[in-house]
Amino acid sequence: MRQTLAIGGMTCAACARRIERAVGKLHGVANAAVNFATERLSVDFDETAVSLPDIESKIADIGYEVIKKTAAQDEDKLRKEREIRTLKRRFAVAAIFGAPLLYLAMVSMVWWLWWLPFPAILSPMNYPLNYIIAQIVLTTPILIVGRNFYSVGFKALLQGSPNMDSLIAIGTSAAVVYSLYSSYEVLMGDFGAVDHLYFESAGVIIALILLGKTLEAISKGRTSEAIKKLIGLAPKTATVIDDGHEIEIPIEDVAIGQIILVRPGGRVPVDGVITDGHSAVDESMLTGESIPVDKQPGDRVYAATINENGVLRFEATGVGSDTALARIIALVEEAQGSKAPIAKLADTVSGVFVPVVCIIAVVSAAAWYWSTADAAFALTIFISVLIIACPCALGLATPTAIMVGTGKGAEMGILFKGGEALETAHKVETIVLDKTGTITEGKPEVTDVIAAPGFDEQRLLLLAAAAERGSEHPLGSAIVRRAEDDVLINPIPEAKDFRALTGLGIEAEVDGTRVLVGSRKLMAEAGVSFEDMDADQLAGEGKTPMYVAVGKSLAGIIAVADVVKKSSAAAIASLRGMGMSVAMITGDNERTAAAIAREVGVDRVMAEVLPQDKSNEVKKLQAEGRRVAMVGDGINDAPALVQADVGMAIGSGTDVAMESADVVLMRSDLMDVPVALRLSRAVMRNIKQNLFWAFAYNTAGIPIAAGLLAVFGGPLLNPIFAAAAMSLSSVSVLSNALRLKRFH
Amino acid sequence: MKFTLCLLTALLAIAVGFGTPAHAAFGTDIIGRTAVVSFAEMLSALPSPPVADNEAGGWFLTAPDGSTKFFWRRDAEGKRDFDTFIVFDAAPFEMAGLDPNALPSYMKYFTLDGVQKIVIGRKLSSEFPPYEGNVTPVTSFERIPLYDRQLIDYHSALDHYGVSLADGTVFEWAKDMTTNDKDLVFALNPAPFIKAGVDPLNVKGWVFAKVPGTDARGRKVENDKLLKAFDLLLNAFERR
Repeated sequence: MRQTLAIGGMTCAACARRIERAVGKLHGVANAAVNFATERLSVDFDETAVSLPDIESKIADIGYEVIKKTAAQDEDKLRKEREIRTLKRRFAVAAIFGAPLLYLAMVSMVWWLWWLPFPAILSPMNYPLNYIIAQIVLTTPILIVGRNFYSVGFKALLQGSPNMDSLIAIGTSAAVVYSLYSSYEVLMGDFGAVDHLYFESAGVIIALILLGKTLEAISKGRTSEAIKKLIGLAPKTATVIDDGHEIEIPIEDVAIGQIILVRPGGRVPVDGVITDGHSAVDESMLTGESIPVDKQPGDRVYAATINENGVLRFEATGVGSDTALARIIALVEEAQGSKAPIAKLADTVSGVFVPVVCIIAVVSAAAWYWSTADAAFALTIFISVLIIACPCALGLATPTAIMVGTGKGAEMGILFKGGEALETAHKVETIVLDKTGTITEGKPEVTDVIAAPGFDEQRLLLLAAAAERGSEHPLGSAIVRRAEDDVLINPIPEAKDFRALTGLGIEAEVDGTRVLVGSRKLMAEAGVSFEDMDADQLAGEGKTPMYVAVGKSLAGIIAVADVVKKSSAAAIASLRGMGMSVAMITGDNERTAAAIAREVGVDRVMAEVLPQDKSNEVKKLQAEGRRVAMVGDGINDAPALVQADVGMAIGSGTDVAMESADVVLMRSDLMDVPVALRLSRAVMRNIKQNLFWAFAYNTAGIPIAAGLLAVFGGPLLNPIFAAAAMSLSSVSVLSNALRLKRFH
Repeated sequence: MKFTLCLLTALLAIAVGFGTPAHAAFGTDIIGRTAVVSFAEMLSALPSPPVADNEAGGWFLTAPDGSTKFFWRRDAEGKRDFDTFIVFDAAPFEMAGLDPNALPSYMKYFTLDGVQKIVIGRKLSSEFPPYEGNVTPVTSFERIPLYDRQLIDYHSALDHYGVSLADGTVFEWAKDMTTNDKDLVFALNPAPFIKAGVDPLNVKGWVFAKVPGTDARGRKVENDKLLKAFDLLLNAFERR
């Protein structure tokens, strides 16, 4: 069984690792993965060996909170808003007390600030006790608002899993304890000890880290804006027709089978099938497609779409978590919570980071004390190393970029099912496109109507449509549709004695005359002369020519073809422009396939491929050492979608294709394929930048804080600057990830 | 909550600690309080105790070599130009090139018992509540940190307290004579003397030196000084 739990109380990537380890150790748990950015735990477990309450209890035991599922997204959102408000309030208190504390310490100690006003009564040289008391009074409220760092940090330390809070707790506690000791020395008459107060370091460090946490929480909220937008799309109520009366009920109370009314301008509350009414429906929020779709009885409508101009009544077929919108939200949430393989490095480093930093801090402080015998200097080193180290930046580098990237994709109608898909997509070198429904519309259309001498095109079309009306064949349907569209003045005549001639065509009687529609072979068998009309050119263009005979005379040829989507050629050109090799795969004959290939400009054609062989073709390409993305829509594409490194299901496709794919393109527009690949590249570039900065920051920051520059006569890093740098590192990683929101 | 309570309790304890009667007079002014304590210790280590000067309305302490004295008022009405001052022989300065007419107005140059003297001092606060109990050199001195606190300095580099007199002239004494070899120090700002023609390196009995210190805000500074310092405990040991 797989469950996703919302976790509260995590402060850094080390917390995520701690939960993973604790839950992962439970008997019956196969896998536990925590996403620090989304604050979600995904756990796979055997229900017979361990229960969900056991897992929740374990999480609570190690000091974290499981946010109950029943609370739903609104509660989660409220909790996060509350958290941001609390952090803002705490930071405000810390800033209000921290600013004068810093002023007091700096102006009295930094000679070049002599020109700033300073109350004589607080002069450290003349009134050291006043100075100390003022500092303690200003530091105390900051320690109170920052108490979580101590409660969480020391608890984690005692449990043997130190986290970022442990670093802050140890560092600032060392500063406070040493300052209290110095204060005692002053009280005992050693007034020089007033130079060794570090209250302002502790206070300002906590204030700056609270600022960083506040900005981090705000930024984290912004990374999940896409999901919030999706959740916000669903209306809260639905108008149900009950016994002829309109009743407005909460969306949760709508049951399958109820008839729902949606007025013009209203949002469709649940999924269903139209029973009455015609309208254009704006489905852009689900598909990204800006043009409204015409709907009529029998068509499906989806929750959150907007009814534009007509009154619609429909029968509810999908409610609650069974709507398309709910499935999209679940898909995006799962993708945002998933880990990309690239995250493993950062996770491994984060896991050992804090203990290693503690060791570096102790060793460097001890080395400095041994070489200088200056306890205050050694303490400064100790605090600086603990404070500058930032596992947060490492922990946030990957998940934030994935969150923003998948969210941005969802806004554009591109659903990545996980971080792995997002990562793999950027490595793709070859794209295999299914022809029907992917490159083409997937719905045959009449392309040519060529009348034989003595017949006109309209008459030819009417007779053929009349005969084909009884047929369910897609080619026949295309002729009927065209006739209905084009021949509005003359209605399609009635036909009788319809007969389908398997593999050849159809036969029917129209207006007392025998009409045949079908292949050349049918004409030959019926003794109709067709040599005067050449259909070879049409076939060469990838079209299917159908001969129409009236009695024993050839009336003309109607060509039907699956037309290429308007954007297909541009999309393929764009993919090739990105350096990709583009192949087309189809069950069609080589001639038809080649014609389509020429029209859209693919590099390679794989024709006459049986459905079951599509995945083998993908396998062959992979055997050539290529990373392959397969784009398809049909059930027959599903094995190839699974076989490919990245399977992309196109929006008009079947549920099976959607299930099998790694990426779902909500619109039926091939242009979304290059967009998805560009987005994947942008996200991976962003992750690499984030990881680079996070590693570079820690690699450079920790040695500087340990006094490496001071060894060569360079400056020593003040713990306050270390705290500022640490907070900025997390914020800079988040800001960089948020740049992905500008992707277009 | 526990954390908050612990912190507030600690804070309260500190506040109560400094509100006890033992500290009532000086409150949180630990330097003012301990300056008086060490001044009393320094007086008791002098070869000759301070003497009352009824004409001047105060007390004189005399340096072990007799060349220099420090005065602080005892009565409300100071009977001289200054309520506290140092007075020292002018001869070494004259021999080093002093033009007495070039001295600044806050210095007095005069003859006492046929010996040329220089006085540097200042007036004190007009606040002068009646004494409670005996009037001693220490109870008189205590009024300086209580009512003219800005004149009391702690000189951390030398671990000295001092009374600032005028323009860098300070009378200093050791906070802890057991750890200090300069228990009593007369420190002059050499600038006005140099301006008046004195070669600071040739003032007999006085040492021209750079003295590290901090200003009122704790800034590290180094000042030129003309110093006359005495190790009272060593003197006491030699006397024994």
